Amino acid sequence: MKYYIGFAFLLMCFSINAQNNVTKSVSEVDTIFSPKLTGEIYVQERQYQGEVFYNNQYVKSNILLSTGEMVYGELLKYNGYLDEVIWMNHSNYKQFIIDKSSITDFWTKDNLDHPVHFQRINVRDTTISHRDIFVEVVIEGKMSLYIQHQILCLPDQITYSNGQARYIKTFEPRTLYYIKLPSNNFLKMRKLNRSSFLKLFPEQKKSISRLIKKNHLKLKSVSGLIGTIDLMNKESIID
Amino acid sequence: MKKHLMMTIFKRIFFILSVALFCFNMNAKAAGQEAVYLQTDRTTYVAGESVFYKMYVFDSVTKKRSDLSKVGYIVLRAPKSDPALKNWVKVDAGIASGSLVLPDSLPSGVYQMVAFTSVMKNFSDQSFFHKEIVIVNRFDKRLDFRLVNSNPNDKSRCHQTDSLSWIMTDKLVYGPREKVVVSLKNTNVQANVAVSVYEEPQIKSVDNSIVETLDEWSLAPVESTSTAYLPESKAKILRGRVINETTRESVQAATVFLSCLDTIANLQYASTNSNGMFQMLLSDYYNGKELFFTIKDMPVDQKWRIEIEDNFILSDKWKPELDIYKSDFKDYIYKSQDIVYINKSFGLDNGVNEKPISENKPICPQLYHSTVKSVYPSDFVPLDSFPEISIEILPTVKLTKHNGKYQAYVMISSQGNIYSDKEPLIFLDGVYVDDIQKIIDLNSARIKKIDVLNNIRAFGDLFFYGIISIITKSNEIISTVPASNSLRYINENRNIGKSFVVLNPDSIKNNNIPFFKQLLYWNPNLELKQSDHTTFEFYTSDNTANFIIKIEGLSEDGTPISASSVIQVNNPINVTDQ
Repeated sequence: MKYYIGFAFLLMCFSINAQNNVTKSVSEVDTIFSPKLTGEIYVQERQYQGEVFYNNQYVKSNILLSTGEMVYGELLKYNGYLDEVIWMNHSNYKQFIIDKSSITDFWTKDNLDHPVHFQRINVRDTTISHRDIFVEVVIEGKMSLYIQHQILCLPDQITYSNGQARYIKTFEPRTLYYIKLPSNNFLKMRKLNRSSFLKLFPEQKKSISRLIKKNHLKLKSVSGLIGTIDLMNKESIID
Repeated sequence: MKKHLMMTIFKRIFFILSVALFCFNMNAKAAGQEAVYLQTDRTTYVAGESVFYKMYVFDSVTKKRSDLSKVGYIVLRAPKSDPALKNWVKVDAGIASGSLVLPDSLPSGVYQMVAFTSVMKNFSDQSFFHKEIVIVNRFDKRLDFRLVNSNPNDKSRCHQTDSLSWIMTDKLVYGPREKVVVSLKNTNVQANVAVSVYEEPQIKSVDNSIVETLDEWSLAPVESTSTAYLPESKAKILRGRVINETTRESVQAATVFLSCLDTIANLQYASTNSNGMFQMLLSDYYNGKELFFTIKDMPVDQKWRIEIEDNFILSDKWKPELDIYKSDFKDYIYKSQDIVYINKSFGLDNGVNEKPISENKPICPQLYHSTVKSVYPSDFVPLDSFPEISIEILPTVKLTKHNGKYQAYVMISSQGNIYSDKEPLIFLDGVYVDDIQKIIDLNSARIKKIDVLNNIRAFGDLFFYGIISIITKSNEIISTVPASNSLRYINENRNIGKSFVVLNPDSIKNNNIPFFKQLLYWNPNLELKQSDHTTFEFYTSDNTANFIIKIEGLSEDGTPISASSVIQVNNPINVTDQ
């Protein structure tokens, strides 16, 4: 009896192994010929206060390259101060700043292990005419909502030890909100509140106000902003 | 007693289970194994004509179109000789079509068309698709070649899969230059088929139809010879080997660089495995380009060499059983030769035109994507050599001379702008060169642009201490040897040949121009719809003959379709009279 069971088990194992061969060879092609990441060495700030990274730990992330190719499972961190993606090359344990223009999107995780989708967008800024920034994709639709997790460098803090002055850099997070209109123009919001939001849409101010009131939305929170833009998309307030 | 009965029942269940598992195992082992069928417009050609083909790639188990391989290979060869033509095609959802232009110089004889995909190379050559065709040289009037031993049954008119009313024409006999409308009625299938209408040849065909070929596959046992070939599910895969020239042994863990002439430094690399073998994915970017392979960091005291495997290689020569010389097909061949001669003279070359290859812009495997401040030597005073250029206009590059040999170093910005003690990667016209000596003589007049990346840079798992990329005005890399071990290799472009055009005889304004055709129609992608009738039309020519309407293809559920019908074309004025 046990011999029969043993034989059946062996046959089943062979079958499973044979079935896996095709999938294995296709995934082998993907692994062997996966696209290559390019970048330059990253040198970390030595002494500072605060945090320069959006996610403190390296997490396995996927990257969509500007060539349309996907790179899976690379260890990444997003540096909000440099607005660059830092890559830990597992073969030589060196950290590199991935060439910004080679990235279109990347999918990583935040400190709470929640998946986050970042995209490289080109926005008009008051200081620089055009610049590429990485932003978190919150809503994609007629009107899209993106959040920039920026890290700002504050004036150096001076501490004295043994009579010597030490200058320490201090970093502080700042969140900026970008709304992409159907015309592909971007609107920037620094603070989350009702009046700042309504100022962005002077022509539709009344209808948006009505919508916010009707749906009891609070624009002081991100969820309120998401809800408002979702409703504006549904009701086609902005064309 | 009860225990014995239980045991018997168990044994029976076990037996059925074992058989089922065994069958499942056999199927699973064969899954991913592909088979190819190649349909051609005709089986007899005159050198200078085009062979129109359609390639079907099947999963040999499900018999449905395979979505695995994206590249198919076609080889045309004569008995006991090297291939006369090699062609590779892009396969989309198990289908590819195109044409092979037969060179005018091909000698008369029987040729074999071999079609396969890379995964089929894991099995013996017997699993490849083989088809015999006859090619006659236009100027060969002796016609003393021998044909392949054929079966007693002539297969040029293959069997009808459905009812005889499947292929419908408005009449059976047509006059010259008349429009023929063909209806495919009540097909009840949704399928993609290829249609050809050609003069019935006097040479017996030995080929199987798609239906017969698929039937034979299920019977033919295939033996695996190696498992090293990966499916070309993305693009063509190039395989090579690094060999130690002194010991003739394979070199393990050697890094091979691939780059090609471009205005952007480009790179792809692979490491050799325990057999000294490496594989590289050749995207559309590399089509028709000269590839430069170089072994990175080869030890000075060693002599290594790169060998590239020919994707078209067939392990055995073709030795067909040839028939004794027969002359009964001579008149047909003479007529074919005359028709080709007439059409060439009057520019009515089989109604074909050049098929443009429309492809997306290929992606260059760029070595870097960062913005670099390029230096244009023409913006400065003329400088006689690269060492002078580096001193005068490249502050981040330092050249030192030791024992008469130059060495280059790049200032590394992340290390406090000090010069690195390791040499940077050097590219000339997009191609990797292993030594700064190769560019040392270049002066301002010859260099168009210099990019210097002064930091430690990563490319995949590799990292380099800076990059110097030089683009010259007249592609100096062509006359440069990138490294002592480097190999140049021409990557053949994909050639889909010409496409068939139905020529309306009314478009020939001058009535004195003769209009002779042996191929009246070819459409490699005719979609049959389940409910509707499918129609297509063409024109007869001045050629009096029987014409076969042959339809072959595959339905959506994987059922092979093969059907044919005959129409007659009568020209009251005899060809020879004209």
